[in-house]
Amino acid sequence: MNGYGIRGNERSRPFITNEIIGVEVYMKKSGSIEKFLLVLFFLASAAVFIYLLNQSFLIRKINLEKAISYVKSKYTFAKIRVTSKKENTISFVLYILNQEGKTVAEQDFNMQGEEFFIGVKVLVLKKGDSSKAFAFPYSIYTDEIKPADAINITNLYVKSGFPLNYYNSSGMDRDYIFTIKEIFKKSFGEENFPMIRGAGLVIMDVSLHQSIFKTSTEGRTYEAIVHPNGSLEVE
Amino acid sequence: MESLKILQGLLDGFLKLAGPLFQVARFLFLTVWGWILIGISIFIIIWNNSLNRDGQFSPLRFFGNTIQGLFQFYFSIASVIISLILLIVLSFVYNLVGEVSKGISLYREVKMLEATLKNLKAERKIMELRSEYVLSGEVKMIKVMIQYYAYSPIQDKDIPSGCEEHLISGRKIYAGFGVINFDYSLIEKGETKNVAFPDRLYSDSISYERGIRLISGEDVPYTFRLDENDILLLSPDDYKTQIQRIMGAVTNKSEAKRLGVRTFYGEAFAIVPSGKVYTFYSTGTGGIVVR
Repeated sequence: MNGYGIRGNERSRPFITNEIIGVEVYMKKSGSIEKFLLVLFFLASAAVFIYLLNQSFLIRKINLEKAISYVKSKYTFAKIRVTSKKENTISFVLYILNQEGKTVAEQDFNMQGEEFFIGVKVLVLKKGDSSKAFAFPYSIYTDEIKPADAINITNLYVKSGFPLNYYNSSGMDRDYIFTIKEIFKKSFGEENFPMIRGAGLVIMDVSLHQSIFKTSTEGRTYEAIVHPNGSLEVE
Repeated sequence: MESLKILQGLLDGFLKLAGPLFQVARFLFLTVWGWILIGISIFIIIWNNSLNRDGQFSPLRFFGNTIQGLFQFYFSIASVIISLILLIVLSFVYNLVGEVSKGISLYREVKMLEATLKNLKAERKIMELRSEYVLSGEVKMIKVMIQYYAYSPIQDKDIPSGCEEHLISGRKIYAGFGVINFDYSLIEKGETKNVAFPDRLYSDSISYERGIRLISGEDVPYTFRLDENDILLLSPDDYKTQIQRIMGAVTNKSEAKRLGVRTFYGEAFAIVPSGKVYTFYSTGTGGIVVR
């Protein structure tokens, strides 16, 4: 061995130092390599397991966020702007909106009473956990006018049997038009149709109005909203 | 969940503490730029040691120091390799701890979102209604039988709170409700539930104004009416005051805002008498659904 610790007579292994050999011998004797590899294997397994677990959590989180966003989603199908309220007469403008938020029809009303009532037929199609609700405003009356004397408003936004509030400029293929026409027709099957509460289909006849305690305010615009489960709201 | 929060806090503390050290070590020993930096540093040291007493650069000393340095590195190469392996393993462990912390965080978020979704989908039974045509004398009327429900915090369910029967003329009836929807943030956290209460019964031939009132402004509506045993923490008088405060809040903009009222409006369901029972529920998203 020379002064630098290299074994001069070991020509076959000229680059192996005493130190490396010593470590090798020590590791072989004590079984440290096996232990070390075992630790590495354990760490690698843990990493794979944690990665897969995190991925499953992430997918669950994304799905839940989608579900929450879906549950909270809503569609404004009509707006009512109260223009005046005097001498027991309410004047307001009704706007029917399509899915893109554009007004497809509007009309002024001047009626006896304090509050507007808007009659809506709601159709809910359910499939598994998801549902889709369609709202068709069909009548206007007030707190003093009985529903039998309500003004029919379907002629405002229905053209050739198609309700324009479900007009969608990006998806108006034949199937879509046919489906919406059928849904609309189903909602108005008969004048006094009973409420349907099937597993896959719900049809309801609901009248929306402003609060019973706080009457509508002159100059304010109210939005009629439908949620995917078919519940309605006035905002 | 609380223990997970503590565990995550501990892991995050460790990551925060060890993070900078690992970042430096990883940069120095596990990146090309780190090794270049080490090389430059060693070069500077060797250069510095190669200056003679007069402060002038000596190529011979530089050559000698370089050779010496290389030999020293060569002799300690096993330690260097082992250290590098250990550094890689520790770095791996550090990342693993980070992943565990991320996993706990995701798990807690998932649990929170599940609770949020559950709260948004939660429904409260308000009322059951059955209607049928009857003859009152010689006049055809609609008989309406109503069963009210109120939420009992003690039993954590909707319990019957009263019933009524009414006669009304017409071909179909309208069951009217007042609806109070609270801000989504309150609903999602489960801090409150949307409220709906039966308000008016009218028909196609009787206007809303002339309809039958189902609540009285002074009293507690049936939908909130509970026995003393079903009221949590409050005395019956305090409970009544609380309910009247909520009902009153809807007419007071600032109070409504303070309570987190999002919308307040009315909706009425048209029902053709058939003898069937209709059950009305207030929903977490807002509004009423019927089954």
